[in-house]
Amino acid sequence: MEFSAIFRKKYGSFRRFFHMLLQARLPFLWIALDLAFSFGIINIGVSATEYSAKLYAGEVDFGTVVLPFLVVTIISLVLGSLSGIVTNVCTAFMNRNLRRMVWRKAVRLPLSFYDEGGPREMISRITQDTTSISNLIMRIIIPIITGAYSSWMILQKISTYDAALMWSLVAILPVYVVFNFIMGRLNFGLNDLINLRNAQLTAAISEKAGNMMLVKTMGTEESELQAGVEKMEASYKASVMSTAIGQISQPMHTIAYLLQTIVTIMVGRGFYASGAITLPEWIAYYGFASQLCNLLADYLGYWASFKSIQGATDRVSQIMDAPSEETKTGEAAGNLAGEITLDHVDFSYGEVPLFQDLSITIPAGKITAIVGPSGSGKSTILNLINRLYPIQGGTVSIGGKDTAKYSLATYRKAMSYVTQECVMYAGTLRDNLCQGLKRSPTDAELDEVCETAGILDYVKSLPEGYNTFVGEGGASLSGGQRQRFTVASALLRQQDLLLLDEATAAMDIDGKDRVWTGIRKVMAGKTVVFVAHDGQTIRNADYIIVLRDGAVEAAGDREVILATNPFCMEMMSMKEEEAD
Amino acid sequence: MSEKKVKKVKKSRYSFSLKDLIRFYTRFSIPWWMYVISLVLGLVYSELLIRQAEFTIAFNKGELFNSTIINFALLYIASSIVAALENFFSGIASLKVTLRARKTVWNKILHLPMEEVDRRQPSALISGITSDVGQASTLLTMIFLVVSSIYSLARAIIEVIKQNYTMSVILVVIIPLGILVFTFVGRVEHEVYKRNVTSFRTMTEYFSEHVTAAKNVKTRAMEDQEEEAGLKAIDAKFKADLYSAIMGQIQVACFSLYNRIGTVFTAIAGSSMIRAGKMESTGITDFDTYLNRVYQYTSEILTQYQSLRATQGALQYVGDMLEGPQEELDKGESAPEKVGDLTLEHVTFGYDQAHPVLNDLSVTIPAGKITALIGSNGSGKSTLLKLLQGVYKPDSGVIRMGGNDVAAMAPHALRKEFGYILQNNPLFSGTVRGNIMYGAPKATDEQITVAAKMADADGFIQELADGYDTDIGEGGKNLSGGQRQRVAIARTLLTEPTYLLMDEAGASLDHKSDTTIFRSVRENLKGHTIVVVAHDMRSVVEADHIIVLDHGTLEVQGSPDELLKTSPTYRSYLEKQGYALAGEGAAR
Repeated sequence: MEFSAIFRKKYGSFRRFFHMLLQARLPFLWIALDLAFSFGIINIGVSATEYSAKLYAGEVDFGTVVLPFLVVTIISLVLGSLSGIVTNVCTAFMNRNLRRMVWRKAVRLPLSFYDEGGPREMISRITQDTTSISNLIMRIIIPIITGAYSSWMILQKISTYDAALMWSLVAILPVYVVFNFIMGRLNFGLNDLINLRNAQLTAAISEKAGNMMLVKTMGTEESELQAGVEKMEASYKASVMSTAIGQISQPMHTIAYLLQTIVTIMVGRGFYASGAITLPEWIAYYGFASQLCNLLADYLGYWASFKSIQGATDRVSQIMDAPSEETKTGEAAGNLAGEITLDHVDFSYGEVPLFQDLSITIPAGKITAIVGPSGSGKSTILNLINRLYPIQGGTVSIGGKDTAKYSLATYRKAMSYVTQECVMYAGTLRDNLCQGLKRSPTDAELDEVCETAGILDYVKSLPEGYNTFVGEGGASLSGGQRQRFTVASALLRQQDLLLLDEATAAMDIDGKDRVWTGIRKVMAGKTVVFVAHDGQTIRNADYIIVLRDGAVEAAGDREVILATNPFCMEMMSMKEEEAD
Repeated sequence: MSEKKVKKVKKSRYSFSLKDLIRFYTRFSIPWWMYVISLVLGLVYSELLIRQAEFTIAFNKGELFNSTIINFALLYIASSIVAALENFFSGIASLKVTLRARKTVWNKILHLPMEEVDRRQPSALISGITSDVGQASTLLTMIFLVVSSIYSLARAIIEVIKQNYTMSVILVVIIPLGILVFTFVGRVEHEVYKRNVTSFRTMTEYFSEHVTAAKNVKTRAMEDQEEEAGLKAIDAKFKADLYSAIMGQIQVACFSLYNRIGTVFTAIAGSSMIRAGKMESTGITDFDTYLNRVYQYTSEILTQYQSLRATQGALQYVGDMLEGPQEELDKGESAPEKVGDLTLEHVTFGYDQAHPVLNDLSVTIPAGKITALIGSNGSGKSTLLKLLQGVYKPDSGVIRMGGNDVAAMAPHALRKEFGYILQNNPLFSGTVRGNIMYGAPKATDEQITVAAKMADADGFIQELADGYDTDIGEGGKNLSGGQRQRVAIARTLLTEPTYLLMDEAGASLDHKSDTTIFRSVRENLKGHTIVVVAHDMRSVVEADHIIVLDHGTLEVQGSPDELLKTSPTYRSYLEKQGYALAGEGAAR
């Protein structure tokens, strides 16, 4: 039973792999062209070896030997160059198509997929693992085909000299395979150890070099020096061992090669001595035999690289196999001004249930705060209203209508959600403010939302204004400034529903005050739901919902909740003693 | 001030000369004897290779006697042993050089002033250690290899001339042409490499910025635009790939063309000489075999020369860093015996000279009391805490601890006086215990538990699978944010600081944990000097002394009661957080 399970698993990954290749739109025309060139080069190469053998043997007639030799030399030069270009272009097309494929998929994957693997992982899937797949095709699969063709051509050529010589050579091929296999195994384990030690060194160094402030303020320079040196020495020892073993194995490689050569010579010698083959044929045979030997060595190399590429292809094919988020099907969402209700909702991120049978009503046209201790599920409520994760039971409805009926694309566009991360991209301030916006707002419009978010003065102080470039991730801005721009960007969407998750947490006291005054004005009569954990922000709510451990502890008008709920009383208390 | 600005700019444009390169190699010892042994072995090896060529020629002439084969085998084994020894010595020598260079660089990095760390970026510092230093040994190895390659080339040239004097005229063409071809190809290669690296980096940057923001894309429903933009990034890389597909192949074609020149010449000239009876019938084999050696060594030397130049950039970075300033951690006075006030006198400081963060600031932080620093974002609160610890040095003005100028104190002695807790404090992979002990490696288990209790951390640590020996993962990722903060606070308290600096230490905690932790810290550190930066006025009103900063200058300082009268900023902060200013208690 176990065996069949393994078989199914293997079969599954092959099925995924071929399924992925089908989706990838490989550049078949270029692949065919590449193969054609390779076959041409192999044919020319066989002739070139023969003519040079004749030259070596002293057959120097200009018309029958020298001239044809020069012609094949030039043809192989031209073909070789063209074939190189074709291979490179083919690889470039393949990389592009594979990357396009993965990116198209990545954009549509549900958020839960990113939570599992970590988003950073996806970067190397797109940029590097795709290269591994094209390597698999261009450097392994295609060479296996051309290598087989080349071997066949060589053996065929030798059989024209003497069929028995050809069969003798075939008979000793397994000897080569065994030699090469043994040699191939020698260095394996050691490289893994070196890679491990180097990875440990890099990890240790990056952890500390990224936190120099802590090292300095703790005064731990000397112990860090010692710890780093230990890792360096571990890496050094692994490398020394590998160098030593590598060099010891060198004479063994030599002996293996010698044995191959001697066997080859012994086989050919008899034929040459008996006059079955001529001197030029002997020279050609000697050349061909070593070519064949190299081809076999390559084949064993392919297997090793295939193993290392397998991981990368498997991860990409898993991504391609994962279900996408369906964003287009469903009714178009319009007005989301109504009351929001979570009705008997069950939800969990993983194994542990977060909400069980949770029911909440968020009043329309008011500002509602969701508060509670960390881990109580505050942000999750916003995520579920935005339908970032599918709920496992119950319904989320707005204005009495089940939100699952709307198409995701129109639904999410119909509201604004400012997440904790407040994402900004490398680009101008204008680009960042207009993220996800189809229309191009006027400067006056931008001024208005920036004024509300309390960042207009800053924009005006910049010589380039809205065309100022911010670095990767908005690196040139402070946390408070990024939050202000993100709020401004959300306001630009002019929706009836605004969700804010700790959207003003990094702002100073004046900043918070100003932004909230602005939000109250702009969103008057519209629905705002926010998560916050500081008293100053919560004071802006009309209605408060207190969550604890995934359940509603209390809900009601601000004045009532602040006066009666212990959690809120403690939070709002001015003197700590009063909380006791 | 503008004068200073010029000075800083100059420092970063430090140029790297041969003299600096040599000085770089004097910073650690080099196993010269290993290199010399390996060089001698290399020369022996090239002699053996010349002998081997004779056998190749014999086989090609059909001379397949037992004695020939046996001699060939013996020679082949002998030369491979020599080669193995040569590689062994040069390999170990390289590894030693890398190890020693790494130690030197790591030591330097740990002692860089903070300004240098900021300027250089951690990622560059890391690759300085992990990859750049590798070039130090590459350079040495290359120099020795070039010597033995030049010797081999000379030997091969002599053999070619011996074989056929007339035909060896081709050498006059091959060697200078080789230099030309390599120079040209080197240029093209540099350009192709640059484009490849740039385009790959641009694409990776795009994806790392955008893939990590999947939530943002979804909440804004901008998948379509995102897809388009990503495809553009992919296509830009594709265009660069096409360029290198063609240019890369041009390089290869140049090499093959260059290599075929010898073959074509040998075929034409050799065949006509044989026809004219001026060369024996199998002479082409002999000549071609030695000519191939000339090709081989010419390209070896030129390749080594090219890579020599490539090491320059990497070594320049490391060498430049080693030349730069460093902190002398133990040089200077020790800390004053008695706890005293911390004072800033006319302190001006900016991370870059054009934008001062603190401007002629004079304040006093009284000993034995709790001082709160308040002010808007960017008013210089956090910077002030960093300056107190001497992590950054003021551009002008004096900072005193109990009347002593801190600039005269040894950085280690000064920083030992402080405990510093931020909003997000880094933890390292390892156990909870290891992290708490980070600044106090000699602490006993009992001391650790006491510190953990003070930080309200002992409770949750006891509940972890392995208690204090639980592995917390890289950056402490196995703990929640609140737990990480508690461990970090315990770590700081264990160092028994005289002065405790807390910069928004509770801002990422929920208010309950915030309150519990700080009540405990305050009770346990009664009589200590504590400086708090906070936006939550509850912590501020508890302070004995308040400093209000405004754009790097002092608005006012004094007790909470005084400030109610003197500081409009303080009053407005209280109002905005719901305090009724006339009396006590909250505005409910």
